[in-house]
Amino acid sequence: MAIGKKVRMLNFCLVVVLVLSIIMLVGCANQVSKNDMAQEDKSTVKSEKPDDPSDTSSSHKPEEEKTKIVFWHNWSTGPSGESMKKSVEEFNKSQDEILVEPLFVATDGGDSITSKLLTAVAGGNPPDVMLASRYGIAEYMDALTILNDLAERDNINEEMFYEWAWEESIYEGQLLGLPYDGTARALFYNKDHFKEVGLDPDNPPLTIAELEEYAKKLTIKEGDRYKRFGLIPWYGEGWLYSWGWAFGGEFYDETTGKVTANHPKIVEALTWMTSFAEQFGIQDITSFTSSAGSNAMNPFISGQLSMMITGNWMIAQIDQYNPDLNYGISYIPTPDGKNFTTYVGGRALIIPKGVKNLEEAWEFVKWMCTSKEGQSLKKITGEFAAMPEVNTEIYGDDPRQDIFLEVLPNGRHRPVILAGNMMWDELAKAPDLVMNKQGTAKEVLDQITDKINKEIEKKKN
Amino acid sequence: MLELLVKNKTTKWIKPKLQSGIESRRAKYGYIFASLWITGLLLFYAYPLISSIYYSFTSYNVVSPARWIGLENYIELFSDPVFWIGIENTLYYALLSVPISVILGIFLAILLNMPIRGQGIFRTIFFIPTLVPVVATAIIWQWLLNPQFGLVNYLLATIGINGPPWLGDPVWSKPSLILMAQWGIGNSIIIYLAGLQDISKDYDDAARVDGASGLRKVWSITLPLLTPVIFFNMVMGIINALQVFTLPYALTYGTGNPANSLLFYSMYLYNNAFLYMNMGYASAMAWILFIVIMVITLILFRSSDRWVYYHGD
Repeated sequence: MAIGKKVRMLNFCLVVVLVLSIIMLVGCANQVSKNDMAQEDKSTVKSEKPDDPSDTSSSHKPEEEKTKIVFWHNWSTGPSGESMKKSVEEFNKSQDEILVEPLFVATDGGDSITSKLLTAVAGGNPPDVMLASRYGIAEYMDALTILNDLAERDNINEEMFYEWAWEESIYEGQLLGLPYDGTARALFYNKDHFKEVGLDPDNPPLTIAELEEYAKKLTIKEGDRYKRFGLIPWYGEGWLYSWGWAFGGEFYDETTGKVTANHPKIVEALTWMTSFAEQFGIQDITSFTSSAGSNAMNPFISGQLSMMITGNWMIAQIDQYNPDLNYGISYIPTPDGKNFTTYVGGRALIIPKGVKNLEEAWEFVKWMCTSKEGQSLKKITGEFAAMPEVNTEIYGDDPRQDIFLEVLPNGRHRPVILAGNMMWDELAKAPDLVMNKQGTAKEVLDQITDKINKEIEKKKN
Repeated sequence: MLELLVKNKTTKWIKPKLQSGIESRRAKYGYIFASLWITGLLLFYAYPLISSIYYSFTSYNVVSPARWIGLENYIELFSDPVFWIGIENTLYYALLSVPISVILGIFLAILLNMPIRGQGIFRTIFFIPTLVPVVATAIIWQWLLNPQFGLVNYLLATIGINGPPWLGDPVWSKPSLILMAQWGIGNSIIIYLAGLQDISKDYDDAARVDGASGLRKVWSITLPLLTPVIFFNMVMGIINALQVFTLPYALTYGTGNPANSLLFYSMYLYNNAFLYMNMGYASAMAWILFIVIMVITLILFRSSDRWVYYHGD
């Protein structure tokens, strides 16, 4: 009857409307994020201004006459947020022509705000400067101002930076941004635990074999429950990149321009990482790692994990949450106990395409990345400056940083390719896939390598 | 829903013959009021929708001009293992979560429809979780399901069961997610309740006179008369389940861990669009999803003749 038909019609209409709305996910997100940004823009500008009265008082020019540039970053809280705030303040004080307005923009997956940048560039309203993870920038180089000419004019070149910092900012000879900072990894170990099981706390493991032996000694099992793990290779910063390079693998072949994530040494590294899971039981380790918290609850800080690959920023966290922790820092072990290296990440400052104040933006980027004042503010986050001389200055008197400063010049960076984000995602999953028997290390890495190379090929065409 | 209401209202105004000047003037205002919505629909819905068809045949990264590549995106998708993982996970999720939510929803609705003391309070209790934002739900459940310190495994341990790592284990992760999704069942309960109250008391009285038991009444009277509502909730449930995104995305930060077991179709679509700069590829994925949902929905509609009874049909 009529009612029945009506209900059916209503059902059908609803279904159609709803089904169509999924398709708009793609198209609409652009609009939404743009609106979001506009709102954030206003609120930040409002809140930032009264914050720094010192800034206006020390300047000779009234604020209105300065050139305003907008700086996007994704660090809002803690030491990193502090470092951004301080950097901008210092820069604004250091000169009289440019007023940088920092703007926090939330990340959208990974460590980047790229989708928002892309929509802003496509919409013709980009920020003047943005902080970005270096490994991903080649992927959206179409949205960037290439900086070769400006760098050449102002005598900025590779000699000022670590090799990893400079090289990771260049794609096929084009300078995509200036390197800003670096994050390095090493082995942190609990000296008290070492003493407890009769290991020498001043002789941390140097080879993979020693590392394995120590890890077994340090692990404590009570009943069928682990009370303490000696080491969980992939926990913390034990990425496949960290171990792959330690094992002597290469992720990229410069000559062919192909990704080589299935390099025999990397397969070896992944096999080793995952064999660990089998020794201790994947279920138990998973239980442990997925229960682990961060900060004060970090298992290394709370003494539930004796050795861990992590970054130098952990020093500051330990100082904050458990200053009494008796720990040491050593190289990431390698198979032969020689040729220590570290996996270095970090950010660059980029200038999007189509900015209105290119010269002013460049001035700010230069100050942040190549001036002692700008670079030494990296001390706030406990990460490294991209300029070697600055690190010696800010960390030279802290013995805990010695290992890092020693291996930094040998640091390795992720390949600069057109599919950096995908490669990161895929490699981050690899240990998990192998441990859960989705394939052997070789099979999984072959598949990933193939996928990334195809993707790069596709983007090059 | 709202859009539909507005639409219905305007058509109601226009439909009757325009007998007097008042009516035609009213119609004019109707158009004026509706025009805002229509403009919005064309600009923000119709335009992106249509352009996404075009982009699905191109290589497009948002900043550079799109390059026509014909069917390449579609061809590539079918040989992309992650695409198939996404489909598999999504179908698994839909196949389990929809029946569970239908059965659980009806069961709870029938209970909540019983005239007992505190009925309103119980109804409120079951509805409250739907007011919690999805991201907050994800965090709450992450704590509840924490393998070592979580409440769920603690309770299991008290009866001697060693709980699994839940979200950390690829076997248990999807069931965990389905469990979490039932947290938001309050919305469908409300629709079932409305449907239940729509059933005339006369049938019930007649059955009682004939001596039917309570269970028999539910099976032979309530359920058949509730089928239009069940059908509606099922269709909506399937559409939502096939697009599941927010909960697993918030839980895994978009990675789909462990071992890709929580990588759902929409998440891979989103990552391609906004992380890997493959807007064309993502558009193609969106259209494949559209076709899949359309086909499943049409099949459901076809089957509805056999099992859905409308009042008075």
